[in-house]
Amino acid sequence: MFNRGINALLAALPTIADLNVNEIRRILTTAWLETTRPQLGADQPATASAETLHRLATALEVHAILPLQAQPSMVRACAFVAAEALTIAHGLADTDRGDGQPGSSNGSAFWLFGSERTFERVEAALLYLIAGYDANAALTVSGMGAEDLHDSSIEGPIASWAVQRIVGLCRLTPAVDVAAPMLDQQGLPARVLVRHELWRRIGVHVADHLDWLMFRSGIDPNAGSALRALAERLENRDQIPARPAAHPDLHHLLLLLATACDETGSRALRTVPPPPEDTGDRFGTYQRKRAASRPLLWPAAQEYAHESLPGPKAHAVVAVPTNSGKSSVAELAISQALCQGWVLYLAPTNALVGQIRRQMADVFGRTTVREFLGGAEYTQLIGESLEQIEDQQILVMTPEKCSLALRQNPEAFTKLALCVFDEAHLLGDRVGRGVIAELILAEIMHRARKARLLLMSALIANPSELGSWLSHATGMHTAVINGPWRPTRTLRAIAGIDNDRGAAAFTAASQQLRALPPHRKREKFKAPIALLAGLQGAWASEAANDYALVQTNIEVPLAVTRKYRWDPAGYCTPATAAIVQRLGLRGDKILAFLPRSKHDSFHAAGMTQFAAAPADSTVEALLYLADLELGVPSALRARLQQGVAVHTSALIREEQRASELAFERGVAVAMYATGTMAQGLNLPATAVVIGGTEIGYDNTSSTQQRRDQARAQLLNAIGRAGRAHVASRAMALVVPNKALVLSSSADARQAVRTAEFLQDEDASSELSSALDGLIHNVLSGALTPDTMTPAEHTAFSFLAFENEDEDDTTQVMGKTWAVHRAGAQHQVQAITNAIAVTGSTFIQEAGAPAWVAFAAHQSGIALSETAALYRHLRARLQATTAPEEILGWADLMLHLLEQLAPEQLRRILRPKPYGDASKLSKIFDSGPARADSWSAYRAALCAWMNGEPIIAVAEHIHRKSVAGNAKRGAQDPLPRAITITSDAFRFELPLIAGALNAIIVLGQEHEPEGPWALSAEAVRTLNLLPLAVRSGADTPESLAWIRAGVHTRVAAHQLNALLPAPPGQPDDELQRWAHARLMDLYQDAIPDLLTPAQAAVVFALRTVREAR
Amino acid sequence: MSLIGTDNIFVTEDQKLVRDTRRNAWIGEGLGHALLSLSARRETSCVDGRICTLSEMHQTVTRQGLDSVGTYVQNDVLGVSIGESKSTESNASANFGEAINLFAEVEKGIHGPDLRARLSAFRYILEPGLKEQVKDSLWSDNASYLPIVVYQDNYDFTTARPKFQRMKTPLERRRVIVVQLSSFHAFFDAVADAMRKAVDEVVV
Repeated sequence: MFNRGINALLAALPTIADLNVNEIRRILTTAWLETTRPQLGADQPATASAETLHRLATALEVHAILPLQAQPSMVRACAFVAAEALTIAHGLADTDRGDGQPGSSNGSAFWLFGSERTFERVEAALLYLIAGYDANAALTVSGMGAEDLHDSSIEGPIASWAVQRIVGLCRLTPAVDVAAPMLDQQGLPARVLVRHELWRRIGVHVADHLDWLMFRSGIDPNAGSALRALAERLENRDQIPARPAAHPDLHHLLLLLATACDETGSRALRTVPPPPEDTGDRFGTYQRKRAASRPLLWPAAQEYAHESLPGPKAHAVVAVPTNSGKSSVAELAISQALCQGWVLYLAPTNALVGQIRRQMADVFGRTTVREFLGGAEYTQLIGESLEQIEDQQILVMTPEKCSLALRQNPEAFTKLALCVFDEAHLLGDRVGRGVIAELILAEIMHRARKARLLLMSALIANPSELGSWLSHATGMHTAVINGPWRPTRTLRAIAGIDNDRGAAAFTAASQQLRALPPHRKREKFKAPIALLAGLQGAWASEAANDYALVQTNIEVPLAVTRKYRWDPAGYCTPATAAIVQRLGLRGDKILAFLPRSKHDSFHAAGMTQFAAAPADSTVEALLYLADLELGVPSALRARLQQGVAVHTSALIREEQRASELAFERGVAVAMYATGTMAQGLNLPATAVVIGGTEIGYDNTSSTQQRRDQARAQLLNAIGRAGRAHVASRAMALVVPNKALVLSSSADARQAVRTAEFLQDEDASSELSSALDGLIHNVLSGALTPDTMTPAEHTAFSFLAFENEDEDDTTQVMGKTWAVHRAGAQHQVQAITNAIAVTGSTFIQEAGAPAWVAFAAHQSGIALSETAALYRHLRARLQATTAPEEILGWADLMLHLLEQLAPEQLRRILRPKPYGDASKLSKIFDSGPARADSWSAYRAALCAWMNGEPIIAVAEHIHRKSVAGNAKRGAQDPLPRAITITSDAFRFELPLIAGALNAIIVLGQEHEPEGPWALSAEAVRTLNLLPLAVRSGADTPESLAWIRAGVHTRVAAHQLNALLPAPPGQPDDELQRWAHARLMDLYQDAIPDLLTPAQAAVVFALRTVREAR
Repeated sequence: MSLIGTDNIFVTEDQKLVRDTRRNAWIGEGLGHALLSLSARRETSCVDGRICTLSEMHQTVTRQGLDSVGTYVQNDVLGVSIGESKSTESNASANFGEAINLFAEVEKGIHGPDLRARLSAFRYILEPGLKEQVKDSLWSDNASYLPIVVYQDNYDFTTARPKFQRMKTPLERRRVIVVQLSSFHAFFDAVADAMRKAVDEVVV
C-alpha cells in the first residue's frame, strides 16, 4: 500500500522496541484490508487489532511531541503513521460494528469537546496536516458537524466555536464568521475563565491563520508561534519541583495546532514571490483566486517554487507520481510566465489537450487559453494556422501541432515565456513521436532563448539526465524535481480462485456433470474469488508474511469439462466484471482496464449494472450528437444508463467525451477502458481493476518492447487508483488472463509471475533519445537513407530547413538530446553537414529537386515519401488539369497513393487501422485485389467527406452486410469504420494532403516553369483539402460550418443544407458568416426555421459548447 | 470551593451525593497522587522503581478519564504508570471493579487522547534520555496499572477478579493500592477543612 514516497517518509521514524518499518506497514495494511471486508464480502477471522493501532498512534504521536527541538522529518513521519493508525482504527471499529456506522465500542467516552472518537478525528486530521497530507486531513473530518461537538458544560459553546475553526483549518475551508461566545455568568471559577480564554485564543489564532492562507487577510499572524507561546504559558517552567503543563488536554491540542500551522504556513501558496515583471498584479490575482480553493502547495509545487520562481528563472524536469500535483506545478509556472509572454502547453493526445484547455480556462479565463486540436497537417488557411500568437496567452496543443507552428510562425517563439510539456516521456517514444517531441524542444530552445521549459511526467526514471540536457543546451539552471510523494496509498492485489471453496464448487459441478447425459459437455459452476494482497507496496518481498489472502464472496462463472478440468477460457473478463460490480455496489468509483483489446470493454460493460443515475444534460447532448454522427443509436447509451462508462478507440469523440463526463460527474460508477487511456486522461478512481495482463500492441514491436509497453501501461493503470479528496487509500486489483488458484499467502511468489509488473514501484523507466541511432550513424559514418528508420526519416525532413536557414539546422541539431547524450556538441557542424549531404544525395537519387526537402519539412512527411509524392503529383499535373473541387483533390490524393509501391505506402499509411479483413485491407497488396480495395477506399472517403453517418461509411469498409448493426464487437462494422476514420481520415490523410499543398506552393516558388501554376479555385480547394479531409467536408460551405465550431461532422452538413451560404464568398468570410448564423441559431434568433429534429441538433450543439 | 464546598454539612441526599462523588472522590484522588508523589522521592512498592513525572490531578472530577498518569524508571528503563482512584466508605468491591474496567479500556486503546495529553504535558520536565523511551514503553505495553482504593469497611482485595486476571499487563505491574480509613468521613472532612484554611480558592 505504501509507495516510495511513504517509504522515504518512514525512513525518519525512530527505532521503537521490536518494531521496524516493514512491520508498521504490515500492521496498517492488514488493518485497512480488514476494513474492506464489507466491500469484498469477506468472512474470515479478524487478525488486525484496533488496540495495536491505538498503541502505535499513541507511541509515535507522544514521541513526536515530547522533544523540545524535534527533527521535522521525524515529526512528519510519526505524525503520518499516527494519523493512519487512528483513521484505520476507526474504520476497523466501524467494520466490526457491521452496519457501516461509526463504532460505539471505541471512543464513546467524552474528551475535550465531544466523544473521544470525534477528538481523534480532529487529532488525526491535524497529524495529517503536520505530515503534509492536507487532502487526507480534509477527508478525515469530512461530514463532521455541530452535532459531533456536544459539550454540555459551561465550556461547551466556546469549545464548539473554536473547534469549528480547527475543523475549518483541517478542511482548508473557513468556518462561518461569528464572534466567539462570551461568558455571561458572574463569579465563575478562575479555572473556567482561564479555559474559556484559552479556547477563544485557539479559535482566533487558527481562524487568523486560515484567513491568511486563503488571502482573506493581509499580514501573517504567525499563528504557529502564538499557539506555541500559549502552550508554553501552561508549562510552569520555573516551579520547583517541576510540574507538568496545566490543562494538559488543551496543552496537547495547542502543540498539535502550533505544528500544523507552522507546517501549512510553510507550504502556503501566498508565500511564493511574484515575478519582477508582474507590474499589473497578475500573479497576485492568480494567488488570491487559487488560494480561495487550494491555498497549499504540494511538495512538487513547493520545490518548484523554491527552485524556479520567481520567474520562472529556471527550467524544470518534474518526474513525480500520478496524482501528486503535476498540473499544479504547471499552473504555478504559467501564472508567473504569463507576466512575460505567451505559454505553450504540450500534451500528447487531443483528449488531454482538451482536458488541459478546460483546466487552464477555469483558472486563467477562457480568453487566455487557446486550444489547437486536430492534426498537424500543413495548411495556409488563415484561422487554422498558428500565425497569430498573442502575448499572455496559453496555447495548448500536441507536439505535432507545435511542429506545424514552428514551421508556420517561428518568429512568434521569440516571445515564448514558458513551454510546459506534459507526459514528457513521449520523448522516449520510438515509433516517431519521440523524434518530433525532441526536435520541437530543441527548436524551441533555439528560437525562444528567454523561454523556460517545464517537462513533466510520472514515467521518467532519469530526470536528471534530461535536466542536464536542458541546462547544457541553454546555459540555464534546470531544477530536477523527482520526489516520490503521493497523497494516496494504493494496495496491490491479485485475484484468483479460492482453492478450498473453489475445489468444493468444482467437485459438486463435476458430480452433476457425471450424472448428466453424454451430450452435455460442460457444467457451469460459480467459483469464489480470493485476493492475494501485498502488505508492503510493490511486490518486491519474497516473505509470505508480506502478503495476505483475503476471501471474498464474489463469484465468477466457470465450467467443468468432460475431462473434469476447469475450462480456463473466458475467465478474465467475467471475473473482472464481477469484481467491478461488487466494488461499485459498495461505493467505490472504479476504473477497469481491459488492455488486451478494445472490444473487451463493451463486453465487460454488458456484464455490469448499477442503479440508474440521474441523467446529465451534457452527457445526453453528446450522446445525441453521437447518434447523429454514427447514424445509429450509440451503444454507449444503454451502458451509461446502467452506470457504466466505456472508453476505447472503438468509440467516436462524442462518445468518449460522454463517458469521461459521465464518470467525472458520477453518472457512471465504473469505466471500462483500454490500457492506453491510462496514459492520458486524468480520471482518478478509488479502485482500479486490471482485467488481464496482456496488452494489445503493434505487430512490429519486439518481445522486449511489448514487455516494456505492458509494464508501463499496467503500472500506469495502477497509478490511476487514488483520489486525494475522496479516499486516502485505494485498491488496485489484477485479474490475470488465466485463472490462478490461491491457497495462502505463500502463493504470492507464484502469483507474481502472472503479473511481474507488480514488483516494480512505478512505471518510470530510463528514457533515451529517439535520435540516438541517427547521431550514432552520423558519427560513425554509417548514415545512409536506406538504413534509416521511419522515425529518423521524420527527423530528416524536420531538420531540412530552407537553404538560407542552415544555421537553424545546426542550432537545432546542437540542442538535441541525442547530441548531448553523445557528447558531440563540438561536432554539430559536421553532423549537420553529413545530414545535409545525405539528404541531398537522397533527393538526387529520388529524382526530386532540393526544395522537396523543405516541402517535407513543412508537411512533416518523411523525405522519401515526399519525394515520391512530388514525382507522381508532377506527372499528374503535367498530364491533366488540376481539380477545382475538394473532392477532386481528395480523389487525386488517393490516386497518388495508389501509385506508391506497397512498402512505401505502408510507411505513409499504417496498415493496422484497415485490419486483415476489411474491404480496404488489400490497398497494400501488389495483386489485382488492390484496385478493388482502392475503389472501396475512394467510396469510403467520399462518404465521409459528404457527411454521411459512419454507419454509411462502414458500408464501404465492412465486408459483410452492415444493416444498421450498431454493436461494438470485434466482428461488427462500426469499430473498424471508427478506427479508419479516426486514424486514417482524421490523421494520416490530412498530413498527406498538407504535403501536396506544400509541394505545390514551393513548386510555384522554386520551379516557376513547372506544372505548379493552378487556377485560383484549384489553389483555394487544395488549401482547404487537409482540413476538409480531417473534418469530413466536401465543399467550402460545409467546411465553413465546421470551422465555425460545429465539430460534429454530420451536424455541420445538416446545417449547411438548412442554411445555404451566399455564393461567391472567400473562405474566411464564409467562416464568419457560418459563425454568425450559428450564434443566431443558439440564441433562437431565426424563428420557425427548424424542424423539431433540427432544433434538437442545435440544442445539443449548444449544450456541448456551453460545457466546454 | 466548587470542589470541596464551603463546609462539611451534608444533610440532603443531593448534598451527600456531592460529598461522595465530588468532594471525597477528588480528595481520594489527591491521596493517591500524594502516595505516588512519595514514590518520586524514594522507592515505594507502588511501582517498581522511582516515579519521574506525575500528572496533575484530574481536572474535572465528574468527567471520565485517567486520574493519574506518570512515568517511572527502574534500572534505567522507563515505564508508564496509570492510576485510578476510588473513594468509598462501604463499597470497595464495586469501586475496585470500576477501576479495573477503566484499565481494561486503556488496554483496548480507549482513553488514548487522555493518555497522550497527560504524557505530552511532561514535555518540559522529562529528561531527554527518558523522553526517548516513552514510545518504547507505550508500544511494549510497559505500563503499570495502579488502582487506588480509599475505603472504610472491610473488603478482601484478594477476591478473584476474572477481568483483572485477563489483562495483558503482567501481574507484577498491576498493583492495587489500598488505604483503609477507620473513620472515613472524618478523614475527608478534616482534609477539606485544612484545604479551606490554606487557600481561598482551589484552582486546577
